[in-house]
Amino acid sequence: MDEKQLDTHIDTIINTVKDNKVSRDEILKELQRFLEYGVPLDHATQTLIKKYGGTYTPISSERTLLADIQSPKSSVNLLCRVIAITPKTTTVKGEEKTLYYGMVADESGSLSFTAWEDFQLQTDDVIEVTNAYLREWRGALKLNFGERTKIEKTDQKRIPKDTITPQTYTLNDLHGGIGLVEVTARIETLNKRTIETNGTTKTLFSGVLSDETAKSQFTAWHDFKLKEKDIIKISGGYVRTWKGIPQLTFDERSTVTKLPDTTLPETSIPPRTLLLYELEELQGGFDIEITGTVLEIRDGSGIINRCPQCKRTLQDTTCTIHGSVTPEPDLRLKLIIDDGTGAISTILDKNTTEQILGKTFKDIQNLEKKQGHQAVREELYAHLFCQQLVLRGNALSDDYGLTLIVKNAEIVPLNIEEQHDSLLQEMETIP
Amino acid sequence: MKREPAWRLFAAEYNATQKEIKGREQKTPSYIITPLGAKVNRVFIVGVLTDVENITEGKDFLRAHVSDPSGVYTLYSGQYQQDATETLATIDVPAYVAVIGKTRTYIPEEGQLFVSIRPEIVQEVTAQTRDRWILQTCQHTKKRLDAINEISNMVTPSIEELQKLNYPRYLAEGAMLAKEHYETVDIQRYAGIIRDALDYVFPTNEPHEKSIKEIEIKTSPKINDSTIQTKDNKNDAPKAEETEEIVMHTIKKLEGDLGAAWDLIVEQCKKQGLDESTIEESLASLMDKGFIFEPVLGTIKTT
Ligand SMILES: [Zn+2]
Repeated sequence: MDEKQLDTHIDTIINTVKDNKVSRDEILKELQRFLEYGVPLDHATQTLIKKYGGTYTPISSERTLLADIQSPKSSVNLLCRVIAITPKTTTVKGEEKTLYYGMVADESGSLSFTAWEDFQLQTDDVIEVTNAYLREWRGALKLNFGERTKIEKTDQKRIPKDTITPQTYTLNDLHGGIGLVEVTARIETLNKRTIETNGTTKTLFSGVLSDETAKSQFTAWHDFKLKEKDIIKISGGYVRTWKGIPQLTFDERSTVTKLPDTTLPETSIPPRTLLLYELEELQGGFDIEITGTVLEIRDGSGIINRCPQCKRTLQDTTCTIHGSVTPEPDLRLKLIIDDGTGAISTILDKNTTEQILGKTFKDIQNLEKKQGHQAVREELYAHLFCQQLVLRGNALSDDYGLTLIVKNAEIVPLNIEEQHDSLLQEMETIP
Repeated sequence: MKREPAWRLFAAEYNATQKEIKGREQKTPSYIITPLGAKVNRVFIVGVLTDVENITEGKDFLRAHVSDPSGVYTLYSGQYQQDATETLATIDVPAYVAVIGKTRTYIPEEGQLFVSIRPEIVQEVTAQTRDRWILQTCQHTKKRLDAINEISNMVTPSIEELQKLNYPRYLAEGAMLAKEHYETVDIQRYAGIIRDALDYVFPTNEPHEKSIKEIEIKTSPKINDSTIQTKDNKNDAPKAEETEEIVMHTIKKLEGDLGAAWDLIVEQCKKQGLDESTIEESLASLMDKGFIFEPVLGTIKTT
C-alpha cells in the first residue's frame, strides 16, 4: 500500500467528517490498524467516516468507465480526457457565477459535464477525477464536478487521443460544450466566405444542416467540397455557441463522408416550440417558435431612420460612423412578449410588421406625417397590445438579454367557446 | 438581465398570499408566494377598473380597484409611475383595463401580509381582451392547482418527483414553496374560482351569484337576458351585494385614519336592519375580495 493512496483516503475522511476534530495522524493510525487486520481499504475508510460522525457515502477509489455509468450516482472516480470546455456565466441565487460546461471521454465513451468551480481545465487535458457525481438533466445523465470533487492532471498518454471514438448525436441534442460529435445530416443551405485571422486568409463554409429531429447552424473551417442537398456524415465535430445558438463546428481534424441521398427522408422540419422559461434556460436557439402576449411596445417601434450605408438606426441625420447622411426610413417593431413563464424582447422587420398590422409601410408613414409619432404609437397599441402572437425566428442572447429575431408572426385568433369547452373538460381532473 | 415574467392569476389567489421572499440586496428581486405556488414579482391582469381616488392631498397618489370574476385587486400609483398614474386619472370608470405591474406588500404587524399592485402600464382594452385574459388565467391557475393536487397525493413530494410527472421546473419549484408556506390549500375553492370564471366568460345555464358580476351588469356590453332574469328572480332574499354595500358604506364612515372597530361596525349595521351573521358574512366576503383588511385584530380598514 503506497502512502499516496492512503493520503487520498485520509483526505476523503477529513473532508467528509463535518466536525473536523480528528488529526491526520490519528486517522492514519486507525486506518493502518484496519489494514493490518486485512480489511479492504474502501471498507476501512467508510467505517472510519461513520466512526467520526460523518455521513456514509459509498466512496470507492476504483475507476469507473464512462460507458458503465447508467444511472445517477453520488460518487464516481474517472480517468478521462477533456474533449471540450466552455465557460458560461449565469446567475445562481442572485449571484453571478461562472460555470464550465464541457465533455470528457475515455476509451469506453463520453459524457457531458458541468464544473461548478474553476478547475483550470483545458481541452486535451487527461485528468484523474475523484468524487464526481451524476445527475439527470432533461432525460440525460450529466457529470458534475463540485465542491467535493478533486481533479488532478495526469500524463496525456494514459488516454491517447486515437482511443477515443466519436459519439452519435441528433441535431436536436446538440448543445454548447460537447465535442467529438458524429452527426448525419443534409446540407440545407451553404455559404462561403473568407476571413482574415492573424494575417492569413481563411475560407469558411457555413450554413444550415437538417436531420429528422431539427435544423442546426454549422461552420466548417476546411474545404470538404460540400454541396447543398448533400447528405454527409461528420465525425469528430464539436459544438460552439454563438450568442446562445449552438453551432456544429468541424475542421481538418474531423472526417466528412458523403452518403447516398436516400439516407435521410426529405421532410420539412418544424420549428422547435418552447415555453419562454425553457428558452431562457437555453439562452438562445435556432428556428424557435414561441406563443405569448404583447405586454409592451418599446420605443423605437414604428417608423425609424437608418444610415443608408451601415443600416444603424439614427436619432437625426448623423451616423456615428458615416457622418452626415440622408436617412433611409424603415419600419419595425420591438415588442416584449410574455407567456406567463418568461419574457423576451422581439424585433420584427418591415415585412413581418406589415404582415401583422395588415397595413403597409406607406400607410404608417402617412399616419406619422399627418398625425405625428404619438398617433402611430396609439395605432400600434390599439392593434397589438395584449394580443396573443405566435412568433418564429432565431433567439440570440447578448449583454442586453434574450432577443428573438422574428421571421414570421401571426396573431392567435380568440375562440372563446372552444377554449372554454376544453378548459371545462380539463377541470374534470379535479374531483 | 432576465425580465421577470408577468404571472396570470386571479385576485382571489393574489389576495390570499401570506408569504413574501425579500430580495437580499437592491439588485435581487422580491417575490410573493401565492397559495398555489406562483412566485410572483410581476403580474398581468385584465379586469374592470371600478374606482380611482387620490389618497394624498396635493400630490398625485392614486388608489384604484380592478375587479375580476374572483375578487378585486388594489393598485397604488404615484409620481414614480407617472404614465400609469396619468392614465388612471383620465379613464372614465367603469372601464376594461389591462395592468402590468409589480407586487407590493404591506405588513401592518408580524404575521400579516397585504398585497397590492404598483402598476407599470395601464391601458384601456376591449371586452374581448378581458375574455382572453380570463381564459388564459384559468389555464395557468389550473396548471398550478394540478401541481398542488399532485403534491397532496405524494408520500414524499419533491421537485424531482413532480418533474418526473412532466411538470416544468418553475411549476414544481413553486408548488414545493407553497407546500412549505401554507399548511393546507383549499383545492375545491380554487377549482370553484376557475369554474366560476369559465362560466363568466361563456355562461351556461346555472344562475350567477358573484356580486362582482352584478357590478358589471350595469356597464358591460355583454348583458344578456338570462343574467338579468337571474337577478330579478332573487328579489325575495336579501341580496348579498346589497348588504355588502351597506357594510362597506358603514366602514368608510367609521374608519378615519386608524380603521373601524369590528364591534362598532356590527352595531351600526344592526341599526340599519342587518342581523349579526349576515354582517359577519359580508365582512368575510369583502375581505376575500380585497375591499377591506384587518390591520390589527378587531379593526377593519378599506383598501
Ligand atoms: Zn452609417
